[in-house]
Formats: sequence, C-alpha cells, structure tokens
Amino acid sequence: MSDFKLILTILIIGLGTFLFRFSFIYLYDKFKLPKWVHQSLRYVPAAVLSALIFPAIIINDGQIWASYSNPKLMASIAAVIVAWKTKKLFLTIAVGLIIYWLIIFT
Amino acid sequence: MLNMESTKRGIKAVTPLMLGIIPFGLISGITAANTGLSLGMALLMSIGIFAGASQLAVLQLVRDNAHMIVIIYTALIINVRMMLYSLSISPYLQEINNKWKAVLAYSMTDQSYAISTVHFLNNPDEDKKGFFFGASISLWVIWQINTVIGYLMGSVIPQELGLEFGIPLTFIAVLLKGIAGWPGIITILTSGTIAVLASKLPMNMGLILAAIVGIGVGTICEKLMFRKKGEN
Repeated sequence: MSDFKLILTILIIGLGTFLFRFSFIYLYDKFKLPKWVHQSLRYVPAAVLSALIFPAIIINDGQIWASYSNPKLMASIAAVIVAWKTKKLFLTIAVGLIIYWLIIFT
Repeated sequence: MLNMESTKRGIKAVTPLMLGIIPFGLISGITAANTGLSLGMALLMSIGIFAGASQLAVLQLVRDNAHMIVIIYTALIINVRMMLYSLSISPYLQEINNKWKAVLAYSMTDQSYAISTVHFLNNPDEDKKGFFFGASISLWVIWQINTVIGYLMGSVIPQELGLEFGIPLTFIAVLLKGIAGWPGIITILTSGTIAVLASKLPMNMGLILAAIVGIGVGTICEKLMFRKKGEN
C-alpha cells in the first residue's frame, strides 16, 4: 500500500472512530432518549467488556478452546477470583499475568 | 478550568491498569515496525486512531495487502462499540462546552470509560470533566510513549511473553470492580457466550450482537427481579 493511501486510510478510520466516540456525548441534550434506554445504560460496560474478554480468552486460532489446558482461561479464572475477592485492579492483572507465564513457561 | 483534584483522582484510578496497557502499547509499536511502517506513520496511527485493537487489525490487513475499503470497514466495525460508550457516559458529560466534549470523546478508551462510569455511579458529586479527562489523558500519554518504545526496541522484547493478554486482564479487573447484582452477572454470561459463539460472523459483527443482546437481557432481568420484590 502506498504511503498516501495508508495516510488516507488512517485519517478516515480516525475520523470515523472519533465520530463514534463523540456521537451521543454531543447529541445528548439535542433530543430526549426514551426512559428504557436510560435504564439499560448501566449494563453497557458489563456487556461490551464481556464481549471483548470471552473471545480473547477462549478463541484460539479461530477455534473454541474451553479446556483446563488453555493457559489464558486458567489465568483468567485466577484473575476473576482475585478481582472478586479483593476488587484490586493491579493485583488482578498481576496475578493473571504471573499465572499465565507460570503455565506457558513450565 | 479543570478541577485538578478530580483530574488527579482520575489519573490515580487508572494507574493500576498501566500494568496491562503498557505491554499492549509496546506490541502496537512492535507490530507497526514489523509491518514496515515508518515511526511517523506509526505515530500518526496511534494518535489519529487511538484504539489498540483496531490498530492491530489495520496492521494485519496492511500485511495481507487487503483493499483500503476492507481495512476501513473492519477497523470501524471493531470501534463502533464506542457509540455505546458515548451513549452510556453522555448523561454525565452535560454542561460541558463542545470543545471539551470533543477532547473527552477523542481520548476515551474502554478502560477510562468503564472506570469513569463506575466511579460516577458511586460518586455523583465528582467533577465529571476533571475525572474523565485525568483517566483518559494519562492512558493516552502512556499509550503513545509505549508505542514509540515498542517501535524502537521491538526486537528486544520476546514475542513468547504473550503480552497482548494484558488487555483482557485489565477488562476483567475493571468489570468485576463495577459489577452489581445478578442482572450484571447474567449480562456478563450472556454477552460473553454469544461473543464466543458468534466469533465466526464476518467483520467482528459478533461483538456488537453480543453486547446488544447482553444489555437487553440485563435490563429485562432487572425489571423481572424488581417486579418480584414489589409483589412480596
């Protein structure tokens, strides 16, 4: 791909992504959202983050790998337990990474 | 114009997440170098797009010699989830001028969005602009610095470390910090399961499908449980 085409590609994606981010932050007071939309907003973080987490852990090379031999799955379960018990962000990530490395390097 | 105390609280709130973000920034820089981009082009991408997963997808497609339209379409589908974030955080960001709204929108990430909405729910008196800006801009700075470091030092960092795993771990940490009650747990399981089963759908459509069904199921669950409590 030529430099010009790549720059154009990056700028179009950048603009589009900005418009996604800006959309409702900008539009909020321009029209009134139905009440049920407001009520459902509190489930956005849980729903979107889960939709990012599960495939990142369970899908490996396009295949579902839901077994105890999957290092990412085991490390994630450990991270979930730490997060659940302590609510500590750093500790959760640290335990997840350490367990992951222990499994893949031993 | 910025409430510095709130900004500091925002910075402090996302600091523990750096453990997962820094490795991902490095990977983004390494991948840009391995794809043959100049450092300037790598920075144009990380500043211009500022959304890690889509940047990695773009680089992969550039390596595969994909058509420009395919690259743009794929990246935008990955990032369309940001509209849900924008909708979800918008009630907290009113009485802010459009220039600031644009700054806050541009610098919003999965992590700064999730940390901020959970914080605002529990601390209604927080200065929203200050906190959200602090959370977003600190991740922005860290992201750019590590993109450059990764670009320059890429060959020193072993690929086998699987550093990309840091990102789902930051999501797990943030998700479980903010979770409240059974509707939340049911949302997580529904959305996660659909995202896995629908991962074969073209162009990452599974992500949006899973998110929307998850939000719907969580909302319905809350309604049903609330009604039950009312009857008792």
